[in-house]
Amino acid sequence: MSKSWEQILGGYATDTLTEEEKRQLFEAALHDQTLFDTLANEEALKALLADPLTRQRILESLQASEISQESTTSLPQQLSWFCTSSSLAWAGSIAAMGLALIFGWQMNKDWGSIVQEEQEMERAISEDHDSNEVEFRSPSPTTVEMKEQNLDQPKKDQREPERSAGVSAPIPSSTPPSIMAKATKDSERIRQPSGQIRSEDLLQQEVQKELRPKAKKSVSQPPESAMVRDIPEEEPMSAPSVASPAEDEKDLQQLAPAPTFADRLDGGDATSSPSTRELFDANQSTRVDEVAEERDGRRERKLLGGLSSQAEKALTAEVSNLQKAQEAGQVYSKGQARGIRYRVVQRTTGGKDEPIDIKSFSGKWSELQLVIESNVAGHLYVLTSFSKGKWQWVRPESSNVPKASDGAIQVNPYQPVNFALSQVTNTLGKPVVSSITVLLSSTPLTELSKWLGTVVNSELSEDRLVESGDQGVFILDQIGKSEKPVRVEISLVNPLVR
Amino acid sequence: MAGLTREDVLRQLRERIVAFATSRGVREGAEDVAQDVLVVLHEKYPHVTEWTELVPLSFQILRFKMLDRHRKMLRHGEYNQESVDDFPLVDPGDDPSRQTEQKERVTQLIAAIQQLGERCQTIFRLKLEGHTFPEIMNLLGERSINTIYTWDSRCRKQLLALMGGQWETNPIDGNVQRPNNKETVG
Repeated sequence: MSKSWEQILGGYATDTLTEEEKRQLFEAALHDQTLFDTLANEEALKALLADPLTRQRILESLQASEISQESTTSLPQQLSWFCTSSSLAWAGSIAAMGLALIFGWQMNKDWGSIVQEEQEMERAISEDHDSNEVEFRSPSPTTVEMKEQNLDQPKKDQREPERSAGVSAPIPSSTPPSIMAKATKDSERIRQPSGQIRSEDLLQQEVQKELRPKAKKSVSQPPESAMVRDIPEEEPMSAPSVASPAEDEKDLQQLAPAPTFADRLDGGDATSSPSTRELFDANQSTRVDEVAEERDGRRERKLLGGLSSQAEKALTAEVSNLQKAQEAGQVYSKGQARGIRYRVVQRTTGGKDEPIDIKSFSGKWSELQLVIESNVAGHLYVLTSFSKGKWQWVRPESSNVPKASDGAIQVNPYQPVNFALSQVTNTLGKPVVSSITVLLSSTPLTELSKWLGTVVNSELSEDRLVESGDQGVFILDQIGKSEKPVRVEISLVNPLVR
Repeated sequence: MAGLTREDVLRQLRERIVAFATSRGVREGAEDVAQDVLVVLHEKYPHVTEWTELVPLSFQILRFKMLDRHRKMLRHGEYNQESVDDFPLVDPGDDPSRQTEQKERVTQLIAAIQQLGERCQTIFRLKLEGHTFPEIMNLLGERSINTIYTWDSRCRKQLLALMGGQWETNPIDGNVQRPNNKETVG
């Protein structure tokens, strides 16, 4: 008997074979004795099932069986899961970890800010104490200069590395160096939240300005060894710490024209310049106001603390410099520089975004997020190419992000947009694309493929400022090229901007 | 098969029936069984000419004839060599023993079906509800009819094994269970 006929035998007894199946089966039975015998034996079951009452009885029993199976399978499965010891152990450990995390988070929430404030207070008090010692001890000029440099040294160490790099960068002759340096410092203050601005900055500068005339008066030619011992060779002598007040005033008058991007790059060493971050954040006028208030408050406190008239003058000059630097920053920021900041973060269990250095990241990329923000309002196009010439949108994590009809994301200034990198990773969590392309345009791009296909000249030109650091990668394009979108290609292989 | 006449089909059926009866232990009477089947087909169903109807009809008649023969042999004492006087007279009406037997068989069949797996029970239920294999395939969401054929074939074999390898208590294959004759023997 052929196996194919054997397979449809079950339908003979229940009389559910189709006409074609019956025809083929009976035809085969006439020629195949084994099949004939089998069908003859099946006749008994067929006769049994031909009785409607019997059929109904069997059907009822089957339906009752199915109902009882449904009711009994779900509950015992759940109970059996709870009964296994390994499951209980896992559940217990997960619950313990969860409790520990909640407890830690709660502790940090309740006490973290207080502890941080206390630490800052202690630091401020200790540095106040140090500076007062410098002021009232009337040290020798050489010692003063050395202390001055020593004060500068920890300042450099405590701050971001690019700040010291910014001071060391050669400044073009068209721009007054001291103003650029001051603008750099002040803009950096503007970028920082007001709570993060440390008290020692103003305090040290005031002390330096107060001590500088004394030192110049008392020592006409300070010992060269003491002056240059701690200063790097490449650091220009026109750094703000050694500039005279008269030069400062002169520099302030020459502040009006802003340096070009190429000038600021100075040989293309853009990554060492802190100005990219400053310019990127310069639009945030609210932060400027906050910093101004903070500055005023600090000045009042210092005045109450008994500043000398010379120190007060220095402070006033400092405030003036700061205001002019803010104005300079705002001049840069008013529609003249468009830029993108991106960073890769990993969301912690507490819901915070922790920055990740993808150069050294070895975990699953699918757990990471790409955060992109622009310093101007516009249309953000984020796409990637899975295969040559075929572009695909990278969707933002939040579905509430407003989108234009062409698929672009409409972003406001400094509005971070998160993109889950799980969209571009495989099951192993590794990226399946080499890069993600970001386009920022003030107007909708009519020919999107034109900007996606090839690298735009502005990406490679000297008019682009790029800076990468702990806060992410900042890319700014030059003024007056608003018709061209800012194009950034974020490499997932080598996280450098191309 | 389109060119076969009724006589051709009956001739082939005769050969198959003789072989079947012989294989079931009906040595001398195999020809008689085949002849009885053909007589019934000739006398009672002369209007059935389609071989697709003739073949299943012949199976039904064959089964009845084999059961009749079995009962006759039982009555004649061919199994037990007992006196015919010890057995009651044959009731021309409904056979209560057959009815009881059938009820028991249904109970046994239900018990066997309950032991089948969930899928087999579902397929059996769908077949009892009158669904064909293609319909069952669609209802179970399968893409291949061969999958359903294979499942059903396995389920049928499993059910047959649970039923003791035969669908009937007094099978027509001759391997009968000897009735309990202790009282009569004693």
